[in-house]
Amino acid sequence: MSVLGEHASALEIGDAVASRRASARAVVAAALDRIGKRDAALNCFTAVLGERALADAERIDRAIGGGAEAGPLAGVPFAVKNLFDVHGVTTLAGSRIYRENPPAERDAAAVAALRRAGAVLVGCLNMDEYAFGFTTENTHYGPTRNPHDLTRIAGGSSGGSAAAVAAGLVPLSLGSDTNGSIRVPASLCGVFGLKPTYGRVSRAGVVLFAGSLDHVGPFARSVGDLAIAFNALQGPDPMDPVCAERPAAPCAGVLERGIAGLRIGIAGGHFAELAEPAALEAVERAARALGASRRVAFPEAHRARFAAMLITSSEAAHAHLDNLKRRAADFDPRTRDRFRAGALIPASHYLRAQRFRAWFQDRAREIFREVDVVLTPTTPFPAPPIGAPTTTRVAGVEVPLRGHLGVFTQPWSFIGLPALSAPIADPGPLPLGVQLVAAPFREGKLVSSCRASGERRRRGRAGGVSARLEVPVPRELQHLAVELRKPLGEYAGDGHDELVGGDAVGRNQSLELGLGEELQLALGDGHDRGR
Amino acid sequence: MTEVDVERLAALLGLPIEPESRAAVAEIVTGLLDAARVLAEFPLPDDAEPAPIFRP
Repeated sequence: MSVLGEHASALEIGDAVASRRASARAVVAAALDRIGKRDAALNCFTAVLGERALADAERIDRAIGGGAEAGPLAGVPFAVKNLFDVHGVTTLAGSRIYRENPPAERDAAAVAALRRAGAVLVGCLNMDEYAFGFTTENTHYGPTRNPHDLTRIAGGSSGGSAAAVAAGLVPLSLGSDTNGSIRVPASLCGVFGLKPTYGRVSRAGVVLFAGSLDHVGPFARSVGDLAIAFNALQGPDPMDPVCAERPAAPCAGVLERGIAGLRIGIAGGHFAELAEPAALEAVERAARALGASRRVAFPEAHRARFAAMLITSSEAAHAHLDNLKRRAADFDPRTRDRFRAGALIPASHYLRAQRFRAWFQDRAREIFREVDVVLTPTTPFPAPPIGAPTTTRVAGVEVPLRGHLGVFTQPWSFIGLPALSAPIADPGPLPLGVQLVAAPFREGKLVSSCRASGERRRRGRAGGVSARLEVPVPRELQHLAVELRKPLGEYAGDGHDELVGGDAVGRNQSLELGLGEELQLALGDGHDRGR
Repeated sequence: MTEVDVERLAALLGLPIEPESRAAVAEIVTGLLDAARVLAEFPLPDDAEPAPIFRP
């Protein structure tokens, strides 16, 4: 059996395990070994499930050996932010208070979905307390350190999820995103992170932060891995009241498309201000690579961000009000007063923010009739040092350092649009992400698979490895990357057939490049250099 | 927003906030109220309904 390296993709692992070129046990044991050796310096994990993971892996090997069909993620080690329920483990949500809770009785829906696809859960990951933060500077469990520079933050609140993938501890992880908590750490750690459309992935078994804005989604080092994880995660779930009732969109068949005909815009205004030049240049480089030059203005995006802040603060404070009253001293000092402040906001402000949300959603819907994908910076600057001062200057303006990390992500999660952070190649000494945003996944129809042929160019190690990958790419990612040709409104009915073969695809699109290759060649492979 | 305002508002909720934390809470509330003011300056149309949908 071959030995897969630490930077093997989930797709490579799944293929090798399914074809018995590698055993799931060996793959999982290697991941556990890496975690054991390196995590003390990184502080990604709050629980490592060694024995259970090995037992799961052995069960997968036995099943495959017995002729059972392997799932697409057979033997792929993954880990989850510790706000996902894991059977037999207490769900911490980054807090001290929840440490007193009994172990979870079942896996969260998203954890169960990846396990059904054959992935093997190896542990739980650090985060900001109750997901209230962009830095993972957790007082109870210590800060998670950025694999690219251990003196710097990994971002948050899903900091452990991003850093574990960036450092090569696992190829796949799960996080949650209310205002940018997947995309911000993905940007700062140089990996891919996807916040799906609101309601596309079940949050059942996840500790909510601000329920009307909460999403869950995957991290990976390649967009192909992100896609296959998303494929496994999506779909209706009656256990999550906001989960979309539309069926999942698994992929079938082959769709060959490139970026020809795609209308890619560059967000201006709010999204081109109060950022360091490197962040804005990253967007311009991505735009040049994708042939995009059209500037798009989203009106009142700064107010959208403020409205998201008001909704978040109010809902989060309400969720923890009883504990704030009874045992405030047990909260993380970094979150406690922010929760308390949210409790004091009058309901009229909250309701106006929710009304503004509907208005802004309508404006975005109009704009996404004219463009298919919009580019923005993910974060306004790369990872700051752990323990940095509370403010910084950007473009000559003093801003709150930590809160400002979400300045470009908040307006999109505010209205539930799917958004992906892709790492830009060679941004400088630290990673930076570019954010791709698309119209919401409205109809939930199946889309045929897309051929995503990706020449993975691995950086940061001698020799490099190329692998030709074929991955079914779900429709939502096609929206995000380079696929959509028709405005969203025209998909309201059964757009499936049109997408598969007709004029909607575009007869002249002969490129074989799919989503994976486009993104990775245009924007750079995931930064793998963290050790 | 003053520390006294924080104390009074918190009392209405039955939320104890120790004196040494009131200034920090007041500063954060002030920031949120500034955000609310900017939001309120935008003239929303009367038919802008709150976003959440309740499905019986």
